[in-house]
Amino acid sequence: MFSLTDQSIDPALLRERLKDVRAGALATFEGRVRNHNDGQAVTALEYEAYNALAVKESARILQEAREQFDIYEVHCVHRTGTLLLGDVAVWVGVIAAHRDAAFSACRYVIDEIKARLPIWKKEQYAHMESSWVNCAHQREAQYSREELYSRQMMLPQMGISGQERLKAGRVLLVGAGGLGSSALLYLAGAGVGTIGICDGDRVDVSNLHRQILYGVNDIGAKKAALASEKIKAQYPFITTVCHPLAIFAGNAEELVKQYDVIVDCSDNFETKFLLSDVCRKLRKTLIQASVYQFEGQLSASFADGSGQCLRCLWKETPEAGCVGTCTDRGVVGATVGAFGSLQASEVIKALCGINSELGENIVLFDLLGLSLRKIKVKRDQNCSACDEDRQTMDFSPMQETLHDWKLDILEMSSSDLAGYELVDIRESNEDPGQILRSLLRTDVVQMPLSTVDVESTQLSVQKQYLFICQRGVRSDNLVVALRSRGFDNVYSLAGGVEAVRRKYIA
Amino acid sequence: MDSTKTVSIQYYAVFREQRGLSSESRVTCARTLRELYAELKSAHGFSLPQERVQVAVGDEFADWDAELLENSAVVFIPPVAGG
Repeated sequence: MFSLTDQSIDPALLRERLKDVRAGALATFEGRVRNHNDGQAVTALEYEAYNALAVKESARILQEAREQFDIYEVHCVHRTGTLLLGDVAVWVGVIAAHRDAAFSACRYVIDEIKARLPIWKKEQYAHMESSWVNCAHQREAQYSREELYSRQMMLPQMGISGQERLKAGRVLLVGAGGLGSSALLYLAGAGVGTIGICDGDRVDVSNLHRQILYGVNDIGAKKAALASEKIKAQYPFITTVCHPLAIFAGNAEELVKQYDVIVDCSDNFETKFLLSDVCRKLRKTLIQASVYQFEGQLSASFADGSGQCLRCLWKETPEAGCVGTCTDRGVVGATVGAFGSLQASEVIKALCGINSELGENIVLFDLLGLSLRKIKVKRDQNCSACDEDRQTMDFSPMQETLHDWKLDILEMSSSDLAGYELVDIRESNEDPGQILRSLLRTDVVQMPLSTVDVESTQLSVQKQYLFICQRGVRSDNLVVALRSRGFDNVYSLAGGVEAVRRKYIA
Repeated sequence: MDSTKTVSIQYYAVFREQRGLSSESRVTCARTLRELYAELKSAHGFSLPQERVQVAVGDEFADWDAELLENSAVVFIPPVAGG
């Protein structure tokens, strides 16, 4: 939970509220008023917040921390009003089973709070006039909006209002590969305020020639996290949100809902059609590109219903491999770069309210012959994605069968358990395996989630797998991801190791 | 001479690769776009079944059973997924 207070913060009292016998770790952070800033002596400080927005945004930050880290609870309190030297301005406390998650979540929360909350501070200096500074955009404030963006703000189509619309924009990038590298750099550079980056892949050496966000030192790392870090380092006043699990029918709607414009930088038909369907249903603007060797196609589906819906063109999703991909047919890096750049340009136009030709046309662009062809959008009156009455698509197919793959330890005998291969997916620093082996008196395989690649997991069809994590959140996510890829022999233990402990120790 | 006509054909992506050309002019007896695709598929060994292809004439998507007219500018568009 998060709160704003004009009373002094008492860390002891706040720590008391985070008592939990399950928690082996409490990490706290206190931000205090110091006596100097940029060489100026500071005597006091005043904080002012835009309360409604601060509360909403911080709820989002705390939720992100809960999703990304294996923690029990996180609290944050921020001061408003006048503070004296040494006073606590902001306090963050996190409890978790283990210290790693507690430290990481605490660091994440304070960094995001500082970067994203609409809170202004006025430092009272000993020897000069003071002024209000927006904490969230302090780095940007070093450089004025005019300094940063004058070259695009001078365009009559953009101006100050266009720049403000970019800053308020929330854009989801699906796929941080070739198209994504290029689109992301231009979107962040243009000053789009919040960019979500969704990709489940890791950097491969064969990606480097076209995925220009990454270099040789990045091989093997998760693209979403890496891209997010790189953009933060390059443009610290942009907010990036990392979504490290690939998009699929079970999470698509939830993910897309959080953004205004979606950029499809994926490399497969399943994702492209899923995004087209979901964005039509939720009336979100979607900018799509697909590339083949030296050429590609650019299309969009707009919130107002204009543009090309993929389902209007192709009733059925083409099977993977019916035409070549970058992997088997080859592609020129500069071609994907050009298309990613065209996508960024379309996103900027959409956010700024500039009309796009893509409302009426799709574009075929061949960089070998340098020919560009526009073809008028095709509509299907009976399209299952465009017609609200026909929208029968279920984007959360996992929900209905929730209990089929989520197993309750209380209802399982030891012979039930013997029918499964038990897999502990906790990380090496969480002391996996041991406690389960001793409580369940059976063998447990260890497979840390960070090493699992759902695209290339080697699971035997002969076995039934029961995945176990600390509390059942990570194992649920993993099972949903695997099931969406056709594995029906995977299960998640509800409540994780803690449920096992409750059964056998309590 | 009954119904031979000359049409121009533009190839994209996998078609360009399999035909080895970006565009060509062709004399054909095909009466519809469907017949034209069947003719080209057997002549050049195109791998995609016609249901997996979109066809446009000029700057508009066309129906496969539309009549093929003299001097039509036909464009075959396969689905593309790379990124």
